[in-house]
Amino acid sequence: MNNVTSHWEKKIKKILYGLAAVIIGSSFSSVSFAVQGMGAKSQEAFLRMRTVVFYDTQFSFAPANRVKVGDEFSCTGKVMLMPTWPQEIPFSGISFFNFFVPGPQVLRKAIWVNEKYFQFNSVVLEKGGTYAYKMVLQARNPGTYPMGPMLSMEEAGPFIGPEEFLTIEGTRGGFTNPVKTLLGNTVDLENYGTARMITWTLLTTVVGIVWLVYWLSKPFTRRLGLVAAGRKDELFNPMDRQVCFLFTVGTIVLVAAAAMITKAQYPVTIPIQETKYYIKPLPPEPTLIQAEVTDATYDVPGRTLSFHIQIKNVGDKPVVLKEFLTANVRFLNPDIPGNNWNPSFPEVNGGPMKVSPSEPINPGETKTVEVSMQSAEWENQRLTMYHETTNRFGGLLFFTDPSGTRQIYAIADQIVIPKFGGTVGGGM
Amino acid sequence: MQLSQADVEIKNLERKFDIVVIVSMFFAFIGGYHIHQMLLAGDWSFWIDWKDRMWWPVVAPIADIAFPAAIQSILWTKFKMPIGATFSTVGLFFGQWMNRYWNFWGWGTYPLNFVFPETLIPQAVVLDGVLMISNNFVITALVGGELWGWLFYPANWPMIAPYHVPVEYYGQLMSMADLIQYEYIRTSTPEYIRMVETGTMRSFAGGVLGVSAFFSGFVSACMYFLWWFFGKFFGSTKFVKHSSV
Repeated sequence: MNNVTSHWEKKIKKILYGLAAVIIGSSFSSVSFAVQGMGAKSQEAFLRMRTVVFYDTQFSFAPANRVKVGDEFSCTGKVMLMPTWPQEIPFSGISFFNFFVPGPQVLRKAIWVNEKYFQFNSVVLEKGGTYAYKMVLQARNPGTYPMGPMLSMEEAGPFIGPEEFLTIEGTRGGFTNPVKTLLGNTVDLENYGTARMITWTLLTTVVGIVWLVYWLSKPFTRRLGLVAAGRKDELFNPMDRQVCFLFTVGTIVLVAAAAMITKAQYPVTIPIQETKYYIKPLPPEPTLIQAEVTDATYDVPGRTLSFHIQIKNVGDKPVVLKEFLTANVRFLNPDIPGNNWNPSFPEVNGGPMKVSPSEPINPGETKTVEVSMQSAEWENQRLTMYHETTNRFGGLLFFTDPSGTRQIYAIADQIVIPKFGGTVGGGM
Repeated sequence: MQLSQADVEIKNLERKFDIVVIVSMFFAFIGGYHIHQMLLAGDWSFWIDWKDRMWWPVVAPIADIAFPAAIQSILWTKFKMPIGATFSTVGLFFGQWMNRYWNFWGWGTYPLNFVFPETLIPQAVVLDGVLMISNNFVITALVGGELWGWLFYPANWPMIAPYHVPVEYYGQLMSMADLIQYEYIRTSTPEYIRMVETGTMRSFAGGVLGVSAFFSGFVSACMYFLWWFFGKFFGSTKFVKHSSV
């Protein structure tokens, strides 16, 4: 007997240990989710590198990254829809400028795109177009959350911009969100209509519950046998039919009366709005650079993306390659004085970008340079394209001249040859 | 006296058994019906800005009449209990409110005025009543099914009317529902998939709600037949021959 007890004690202990492991494991998963933010890495590399590129993103709360409940802050930046949009990804242009945050921890008070107020509806964007956005938000719920700009596109999906973690301090108690209606009264969106909704919910639920209580107060299981025995007529009495008639007609009358009273209380209502409109992209900047990537390789063990690019300077000032930006990861050319990483950049620091030869490209000159970026971020950000069927990369190249004028050149359709190095064993 | 005492004990035991059966059924129906409803009505039920006058009165009643019909089929034909629709919709409502209160409001911090569920209970009581009065599932389908569709919008209008009040926001005309969805960010549901108030039914020039309700009632009646037979099939009793056990 003792052996049996001991056996069961062991089993129960095992189950408890197992449960504890699951709980601890889940906790770690939550922590790791919080650190990783909104999961952009789960999207394919080619999708993030060749479709939509966010740049110049700035948060007004940086670098402190702390606000109080009720404070407003802004997020500004630009987004380019790559001119060489991948054929594998449908493009309708129907888009919604969004702000990603886990739930309504902040309120989206307003968005402007190319200085035009962005409605609650979708817009139609162009391939190759650049759009400047400004989002004004208000802190609502205390806590620390990842957040940033996002572009949701029909068929293509959500494209996530660079993110920052913001700590919202204070308490939500007392937070209000007043809005003035066109009928002249001011309401609080936090609880607008809630009391009325709960009252009607309770009233209709009471009707249903009383109906159920009436019938379920009668024997239930026994009826199965009586019906099977053909004695179903014994199950009803005249009062049952009267109650049924009363409830049926009474409910219809209740609904009709409530709807009419509501109509009288709210004589002015409008339908939910839906439309789509076109937003003109920013005027194209003068192109003083012509460039073409001729080949690209990714050294797997060395974690290095290298490519050759033939650059022709058609402007009147020498230019140098300053930066490469792809999938919210920035690589900076350290040979340019002052081109240092700014801690308030919301993008990921990919590290140095080696450009050789490093001399400026003079006006009228055509030069082929090799660009090489060794970085752990290729793996960390899951930008290693050899795992994907579409083994191409893209991004934005930023050139600058001595006066600091910036020129942006998009590359989006270059195939990448992986160099695996050493002996790679089997597998699929 | 002894016999009477036994009768009381039997009745008490029977009642306890009834309660176990009813409570078990209640939770089983919540599970099945709630999943069914989330999969088929989904966003139309979750968000105030999807509770429009065109698609919502069509999608929600048609999707939601399935379980009431199937459960009526079992509870009426086997038990002669005219509660199948009400029992299931009260269960659904209970499950939805648990979801909206704990998950959407408690966890996600969405205000309840953005995520409250629609009510189906008045229509369900009427559907049960029609079945009881007519004692005929064809009449229930035709009359009750139509009423199910027609009553849906007016049964919810007392709750949603405030969200159709107009507001001007940065020079744009919005309904309160539009404004709530604009301000209270819904990260995982891109707004571009909103289809509300768009479609060919606009050619009825303002009569869109009536058309929606009529169509909804018609399809609900058809759905009622289908799901009545589902209930009949899954509620059937099969006996296994002793020799084959």
